[in-house]
Order: sequence, then structure tokens, then C-alpha cells
Amino acid sequence: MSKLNETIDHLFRSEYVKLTSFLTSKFGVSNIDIIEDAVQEALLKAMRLWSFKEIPENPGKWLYRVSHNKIIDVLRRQSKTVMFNPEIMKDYEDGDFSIDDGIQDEQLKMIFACCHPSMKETEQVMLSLKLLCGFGNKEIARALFKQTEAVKKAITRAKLKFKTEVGDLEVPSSEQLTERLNGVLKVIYLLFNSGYTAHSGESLLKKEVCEDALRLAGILHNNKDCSSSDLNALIALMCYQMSRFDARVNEEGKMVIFENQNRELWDFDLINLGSQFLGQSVNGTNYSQYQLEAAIAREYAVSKSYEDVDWENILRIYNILQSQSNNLVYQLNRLVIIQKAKGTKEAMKELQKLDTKKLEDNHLYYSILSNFQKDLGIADYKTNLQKAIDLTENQQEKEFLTSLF
Amino acid sequence: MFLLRGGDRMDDFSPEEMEAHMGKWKAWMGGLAEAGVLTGGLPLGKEGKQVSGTSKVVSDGPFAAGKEIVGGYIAVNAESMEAAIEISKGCPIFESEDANLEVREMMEM
Repeated sequence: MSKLNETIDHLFRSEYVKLTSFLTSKFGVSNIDIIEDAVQEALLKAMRLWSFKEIPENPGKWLYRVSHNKIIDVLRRQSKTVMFNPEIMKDYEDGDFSIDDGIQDEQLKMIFACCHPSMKETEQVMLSLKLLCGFGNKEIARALFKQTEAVKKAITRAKLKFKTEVGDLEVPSSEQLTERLNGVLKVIYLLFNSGYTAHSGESLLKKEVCEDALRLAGILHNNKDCSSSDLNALIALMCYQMSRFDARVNEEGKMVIFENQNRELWDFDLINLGSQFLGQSVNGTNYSQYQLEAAIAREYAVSKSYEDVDWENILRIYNILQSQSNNLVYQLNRLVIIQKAKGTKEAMKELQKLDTKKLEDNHLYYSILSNFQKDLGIADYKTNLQKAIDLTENQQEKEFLTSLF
Repeated sequence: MFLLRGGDRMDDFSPEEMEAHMGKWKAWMGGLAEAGVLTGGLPLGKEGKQVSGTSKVVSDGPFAAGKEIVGGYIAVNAESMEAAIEISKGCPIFESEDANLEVREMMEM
């Protein structure tokens, strides 16, 4: 479990997250802007002061005091009478108070707030990156491959809903919990995937996004009401994927395909943890999407060598996935597995069954098509490879595809 | 003595950027301390008052625009003005376009 609860060494970022959750729970979601500004100001003050002085023994407490004072100050100036919960002052005046007490609970509530169904999925992801992970707009833009201005606007929109729709910061009641939990898991899944997609020069930031997705899942896991088969399966999936993170990019920052990855760079503790969670996720005979994806990731992670990969089994899992969902990515990835398990001819036959109308601007489709064509000695493969290169936004993938001409 | 001005346009810094910036300051100041060069220094608060003239009129200050306000000071031991200037060039304040560092001799008997 320790891997999930590891304290992150990003002091400012983690304090931002803790303080924002805690203060929002105290002062209410409607004051989120004031809270964020106050925390930002406290951090700026800390940055200046701690540049000259030692960082205090309990930096969180210092930051809490400064941002808390600021909020009270602003609220008092805004209205003559400030309505605040008397318990806030009690907490504050209590000298031994530490915001680490119960902070997991506050963050858990904040997770549900950031994934509130009134917001669009993309807004939930961005707001989570901001309030639950402590990233700035520029970093979010880089992680999601978007323009900073667009991120800023989306977060402003999301925050309007956050302020008016979320209500009290709380874990949803038991009758709503399952549905809300599904939404939260989806956001964690999307967060993780946005981090896991390889981008040149951004591996460090990307890895942090993945680690944070895992950390948030760990917070859910620590609350028994939130434990579920899906959560365990999602954690398993993330552990398996994460275990190969460092092996996917070489020293020059270039993408390394699975076939050529150095297994010594794999994190076997994470692979074991993944297997533990996948085991715990088993309930009944139905498989969920997270379980199936984790099972696929497992096949890769536990293979002793490239030759050892059980393509037939991976194909079986993809077949189940495909029967459950018409997700294009599953369909396209399945073709690659058919090629490995049964050869290119078989795979090409399956590819021709696809509805190409939906695939006209899909770079993955053209990259797979050109790969099959090249393998079958069809000269036209270059046209489709060029299409794939033109359609992909990912610089690393562009370079990789270019090397295939 | 180094008088630090400007270099404060960091309102939209992300927590991570702030920490990185602080890390550079700590490394630079730590290096000066280790070399026995640093003798003191502190950042100054943004707000203050001015007391002026024989009538000691108290007013809100500092008057100057943001980048002209002294934001902090650092005291170092240096052989000469030139040596002090060389030391100052390593200051992370220069990561900011509007930064300005004034080198002054602290007078001694």
C-alpha cells in the first residue's frame, strides 16, 4: 500500500492541494476564488521569505495561518458581518491544530466536488488537475496538449458550476454514492491516461499527473464506503501501466516501443501491487472495463520477454471488451493484437470490416493500415503513413512514424 | 549591500514554479553563506508607511511603481565594488525582465 500513500515531495504543490481542500470545506465552495487567491498569496509570501530563511518545521501550519488570515480579511471587507462557522475559529485558535488531521477526508470530499456531474468531463479533468493536483493553467495546458487560454476559460466555466451546483462539500449519500463514484473513477482514469500518453520533453510533468491519479485513487481506497471492484481494478490498471513508465522513453527522450523496452527499468513492486489489486477486484463472473484493461496491461507486465507475451489471451480479452463497448480505440488496438496472434492477413480482413467513415481523421487507424499494407507488400502504404503523420498531434509519435518509411 | 527591486511578477506562478524559483534562491544564498560571503538579508513586506519632513507627516507608501519598490536586501562581504557586482550577477532575481539590483557600499570607519 505504501506506494499509493507516498508523500509527494512537491511541498508547494501538495500544500496548495491540502490547504485548498481544507479551507473550501471550512469556508464553502462559493468562496473558492477567495480561497485560491489567499493560498496563492501565502505561497508567494513563503517563496520570498523561505528564499532567505529556513523553511519552518511545519510549513503547512505557517501557510494555513497566512492564508486563513487573508480569507477572513477579505470576507470581512466584503460584508460587514462575516458568517463563519464558529468551529473554524476554534480550530484556528487551537495551537496544536494541524491540517494534516483528517485532511484525507477533506480531499475525498473535494474529489467528489471536482467531479460533480453538473460539469462536463473535460471540465472535471481540468478542475481536478487544478484543485486536486495543484497544477497551474500553463502546466494543465501542457499536460492536456491544449492552449493555456482555453484551459483558463474552461476552468472559469467549471468553477462557476462548482460555486453554484456543488453545495456542501461532502461525500455523497449512500444512494448516490455508486453513481457518483463511477464519475470519479472515470475522471481518475482520464487523468491517468492524459499523463500516460507519451509526449516529448514532458515526461516529468506527465509522470506527476499519473502519480497524482494514483494518489487520488489511494484516497478513495482508504475510505471503506468508496471501496469497489471497479476502484480496485482501476488501481491495478494504473499500477501495471505505471510500472513501465520509465522504460517507454529513452535517454534522448524518444519513444521506445514495448518490443524494445528494457525490462530492468520496469517497477516490479508496482506490478505486484497491480496483481494484488486485480485479485481483489474479482467479484462474480462479469468483467468490468477497468478489469479487462487491467488484465491486458497485466499480460504485458508479467511477460518474461517479448516472445513470451500471450497474444492469444490478450486477443480473448479484447474480444470481450469489444462485445461490451464500441470504443474505437479498443477496436483498433484489437487489430494489432490479431496481427500478433494470427498474422497480418487475418488482421487486414478484420480491418476491412470497420466502418471507415468514423476513422477518416484517426491517426491510429492510418498508422495501423499502413503497417499492415507494408507488411503485405502493398506499395500504397506510404500514402497512409503520411496521413497518420499529418493527423497525429504528438511530436514523439510523429517522429516514430516517420522512421517507418 | 544589494538592494533588490522588481522581479516580482510572479502572481501567476504555479506552486511548482514557485518552489523551483525558491530552490534557485536557496541554492544561491546557500552558496554565498558557505563561502562566508553572506552577512545578512531579508525580503521586505509590500506595504509600508512614509514619515516625511520636519513635521513628520505620515503617509501611505512606498510611492513608487511596483518595480521601483525595494523588495529586499542582501548584505555581502566583498573586496571591491567590482567583486560585489560579480557576486550579484548570480542572483536569481535576474530571471525576471523587470528585475533591478542596486549595489551599494555599506560605509565603515
